[in-house]
Amino acid sequence: MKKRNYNLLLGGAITGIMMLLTLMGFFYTPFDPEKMDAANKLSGISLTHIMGCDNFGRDIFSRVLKGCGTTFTVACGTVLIGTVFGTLIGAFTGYFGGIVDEVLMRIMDALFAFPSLLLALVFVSLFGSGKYHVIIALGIAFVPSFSRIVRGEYMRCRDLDYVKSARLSGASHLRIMFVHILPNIFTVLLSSIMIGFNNAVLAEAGLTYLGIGVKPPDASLGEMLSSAQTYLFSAPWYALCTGGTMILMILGFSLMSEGLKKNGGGRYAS
Amino acid sequence: MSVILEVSGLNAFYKVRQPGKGKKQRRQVLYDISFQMEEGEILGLVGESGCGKSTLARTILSMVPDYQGKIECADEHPQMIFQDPYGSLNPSMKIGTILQEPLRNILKLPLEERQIRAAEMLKKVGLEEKYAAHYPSQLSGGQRQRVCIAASLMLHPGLLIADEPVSALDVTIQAQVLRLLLELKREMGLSILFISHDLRVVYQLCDHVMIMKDGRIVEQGETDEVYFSPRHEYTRRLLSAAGILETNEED
Amino acid sequence: MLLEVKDLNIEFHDHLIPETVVSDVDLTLSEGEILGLVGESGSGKSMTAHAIAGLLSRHDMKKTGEILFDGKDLLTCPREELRKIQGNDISVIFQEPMTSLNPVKQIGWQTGEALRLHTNLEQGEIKKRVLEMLELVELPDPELVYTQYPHELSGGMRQRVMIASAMICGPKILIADEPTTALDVTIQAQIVALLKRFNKTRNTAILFISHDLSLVKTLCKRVAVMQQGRVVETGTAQEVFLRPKEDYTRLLIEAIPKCERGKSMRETV
Repeated sequence: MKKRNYNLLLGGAITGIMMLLTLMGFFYTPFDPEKMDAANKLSGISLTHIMGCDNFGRDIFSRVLKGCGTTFTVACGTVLIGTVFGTLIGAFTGYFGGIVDEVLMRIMDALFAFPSLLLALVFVSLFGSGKYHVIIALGIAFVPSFSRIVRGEYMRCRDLDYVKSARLSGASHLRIMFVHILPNIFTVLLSSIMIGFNNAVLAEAGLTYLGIGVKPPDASLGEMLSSAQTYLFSAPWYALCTGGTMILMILGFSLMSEGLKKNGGGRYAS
Repeated sequence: MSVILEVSGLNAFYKVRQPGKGKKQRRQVLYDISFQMEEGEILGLVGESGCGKSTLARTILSMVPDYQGKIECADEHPQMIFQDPYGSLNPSMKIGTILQEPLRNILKLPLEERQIRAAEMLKKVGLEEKYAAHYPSQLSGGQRQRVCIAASLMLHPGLLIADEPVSALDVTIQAQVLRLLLELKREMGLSILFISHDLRVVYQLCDHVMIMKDGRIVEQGETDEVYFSPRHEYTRRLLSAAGILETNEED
Repeated sequence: MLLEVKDLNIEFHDHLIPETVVSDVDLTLSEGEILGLVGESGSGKSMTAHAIAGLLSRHDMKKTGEILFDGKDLLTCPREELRKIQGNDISVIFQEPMTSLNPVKQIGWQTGEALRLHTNLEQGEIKKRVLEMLELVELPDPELVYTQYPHELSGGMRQRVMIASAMICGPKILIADEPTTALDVTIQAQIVALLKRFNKTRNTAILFISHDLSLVKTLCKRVAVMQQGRVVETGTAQEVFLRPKEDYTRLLIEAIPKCERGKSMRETV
């Protein structure tokens, strides 16, 4: 019998609700997020516009729903690239060690030395901005941190007895790496995916805020937050609503990652 | 009777990084090891921690790349069981999957055949079939060690190397596992290289013993002979520390 | 009676259903006695010992009953008083000499810690006593060991250091929790001899916890056998080993591998 994991429950609940809203935003929004309406310019919170309207009279709630979608896509794409390449590099370097490890890890160190935002900045200014470029740029910037975590886990696991017995049972190196070891580091990986997701949300917001991220007419939380800044005093609900949504998104994932760490991966714990 | 394992003039080396010095140094851990194992024999290898007994096992299984000398093994896939029943089973794999691994990787048998053989082997080591669907964390230490034994026997190896297989178990469980090993040996014609620091346990099982100290074999012979008329000073010291030599004198 | 444990119960409350790990344990230890506490893993022997040493202070754990040391109940007495007893009157050595010493502190410092906490001796006097103690536990070069760090010592030497720091205040009770399990047989014999000598010369009572019955047989005058959190049998070593009353005790004794000609498993099974 396990004690209830409130972190995981609460985090899961928040994330669940946010996911539903995001998913909804892809298919249905109460108003057209692009439709401008001069009459409603910066109108406050009301029953028709539950989060008010922005400086072009667009419904903020609809835009938040759309923006969540964009932000979520960018974060997911980023984490996906980071995880896949990070796991591959980490697995090979950690498992085999030796010269491959030395070379690859020094490259990673060099990448790691730059702040990920700066790296993405360079990439975007070289290849242009837009949703997909942001994903690739942030994804590459995220590879080193994932590969480091995965490498550490593989180094720990490669000398364990069950890996030796797998070798004696004739399993190939690839099979040992991805069938025998990978499931065992899954909880560690999952919790760093959650943290990586949060970082990606923030990094996307940061890039967009600097004006080189997601381009209008794509709505994203970062883009909205940066335009809300001008109206911080005249229309505070604009910044509060978009910022609040971002906070909820991050909080949900943080709580889940904390909960997963506490859980230590259910069936693995003895 | 034919010889299943012959080791002669074996020297093995490790690369160690000396504290304070950057460069790795080559250090010898096994010195001039020679012995022979007959088919169906249990050979005990006794020594204290750090004497190189586990290194010898790893060298025989070609896990130590740097060695000189001759190792001739009549068995193509010698198997090994480890001391820690908690570390030697993959916690994220079901028992059934673990047992099927060698059948899948080496014999390349179809799934049904693998399942049948895994179930048979579970029965053989005294576990119910239902455990195939369990994860290692759901089993007790003794049950896990039975699973380890089962996994190592899936390919019907001629040679089994057991590295301290009962040291982590409670005494009552220890006796059961030892009995199981003996039965399996008789049933399947196994030869076992039994590595242990526990002289009492070795006496129960082994036909011959080797006493190892600092990478060298200092004495080898028939178990009763080595235990009751030891020739080497170190053997005598080990036996009296374990309280075996004294009781013998009292009797 | 030096130590009296009455109706000790320990329950864990960190899961939804409370789990009893020690139930109704009664033990007594008189001055200068060696009591062996025997049982398999999960029998609650270590839990009992740690409770006596006052090391179970987690909040999710419920302890009832009495642990009387010199008439004082260690379970209910205030923290400050307990701290005065710990390390001074009751001290503990653990199984793993690797992890029970602080890796970043010199041996001399660690050995003298109890003196620093429980006495007002000055630096020079503490060092003198520490060196004496290191000599007493038969460490080869006390002056050198004094300035060394745990990783520079072998397992056996570390366990000697542990004994030295446990014995430095001259405790009335030494709780030894599987002190030789992680050691080689030859070292094991030396450590046991050392404990025996402290018991004789300093009249220290020892609570010796072990799963190794043959070891307990040679060392202890009295033995308590534990199974699943309960003490199933107590008595003098002779009684328990020659005429065990409980089936479980008999099972344990029979499980000790015997080294007699013609009686080994390979010949009898």
